[in-house]
Amino acid sequence: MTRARDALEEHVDGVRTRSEEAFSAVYALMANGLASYANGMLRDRLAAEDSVQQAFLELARAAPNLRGDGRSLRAWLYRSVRYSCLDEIRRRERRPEVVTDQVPGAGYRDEIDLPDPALQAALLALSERQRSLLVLRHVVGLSGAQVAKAMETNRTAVYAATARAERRLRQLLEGVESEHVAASVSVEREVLDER
Amino acid sequence: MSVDIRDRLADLEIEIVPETAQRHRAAIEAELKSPSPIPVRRMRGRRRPTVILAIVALIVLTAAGALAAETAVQGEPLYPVKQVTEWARTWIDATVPADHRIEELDRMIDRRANQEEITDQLQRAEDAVADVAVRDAVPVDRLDRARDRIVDAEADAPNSDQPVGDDPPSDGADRPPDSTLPPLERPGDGDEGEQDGRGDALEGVEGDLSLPAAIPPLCRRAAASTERGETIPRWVLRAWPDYLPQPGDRALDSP
Repeated sequence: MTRARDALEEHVDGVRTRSEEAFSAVYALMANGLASYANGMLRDRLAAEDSVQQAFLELARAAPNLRGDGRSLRAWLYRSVRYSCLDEIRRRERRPEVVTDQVPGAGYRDEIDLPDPALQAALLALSERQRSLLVLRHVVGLSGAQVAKAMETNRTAVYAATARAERRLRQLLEGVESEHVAASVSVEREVLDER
Repeated sequence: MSVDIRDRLADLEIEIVPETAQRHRAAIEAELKSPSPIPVRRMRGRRRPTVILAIVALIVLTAAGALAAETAVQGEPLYPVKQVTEWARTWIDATVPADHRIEELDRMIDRRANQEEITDQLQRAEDAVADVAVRDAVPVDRLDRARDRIVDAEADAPNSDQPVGDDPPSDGADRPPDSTLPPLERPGDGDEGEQDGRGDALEGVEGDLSLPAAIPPLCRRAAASTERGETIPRWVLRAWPDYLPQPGDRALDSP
């Protein structure tokens, strides 16, 4: 992380002048982390990649006004991805759910990239903020200070909220898994009865 | 357990495939090659002075309006503005309405407004003074001075010997042409038939006050208030030299 931060600081001036080399370097350093964050938020790989592209396009437009150092640039990118994820979530909530036998297209790809259904169900039950914190801390691997800057809060609040989110996720996972166990046991019994 | 959650969350980590990355880079380069958009902050920067200017203009105009309204008197267009500011200031200083009414009375005397208007204004000033709970804070002496000025203005009128309603003599006196101040009539003036008609203000007053019939309404009201046991102001005596102190008079301000 330290290496990435230093590398970002080297490119901040280039980003401000809209240099293609600087943008390319920043993309190489940040794209996977941003995509993982968006994937954790949306549970949708394609939408996650779109949000990363959107964040960089917005950065290209707003670059002349960018202020601060490499940490600010990192926080700016994560905030941009977060907002586009929130927009996408709101869009999905507004979109009516259609039951269809067709092959899932855009918007119905949730289970494609997340093979762990219990984790998927538990993450769905978390609030957007809790999900953001867990993903930024444990998937992207940002420090408490970096998460605080990206989430526009302070470090103490990040640690406390992350602990609460972990506790909640653990409880949810236990509940979901026990339901899964019960469901699988009943399915096995039905199969045995049929035999 | 915590380690387990982190391990499971680690499954969410993804890497952008080279083809997608290439597509993203191309889009970013295209965006960078397009003309630089107007920076958001510069737009804000253009808007900000306008907003600040509008706020300052609003404050200045409001202050100017309130300031201009300070000199307004009853019947003028800015008088409602003055009433609003006065209402607000009354929360801080209860004597503001009394001050204003007396100032307005002074201004109307300066402008030589007609006597009816001055009489109404004097009534408003007296009411405002009476409404103030803390009597020490009330500028009663200013009200008395205003009364003196009314009498002086009437006494100094060049046609004081002319009957009410007659045209003023064309003696070149320095008097505004629109002045409608009637001349002050001295005791004993006027015809006998009106001497007994002392005006509504004196109804119920006991004793023979020997009021002249044509004494201006201001003097009549002053006489009535004197009869109620209040201090006789000097202007009453100047306007009405033959007045005899009555048993109810508490003090006499000698002329």
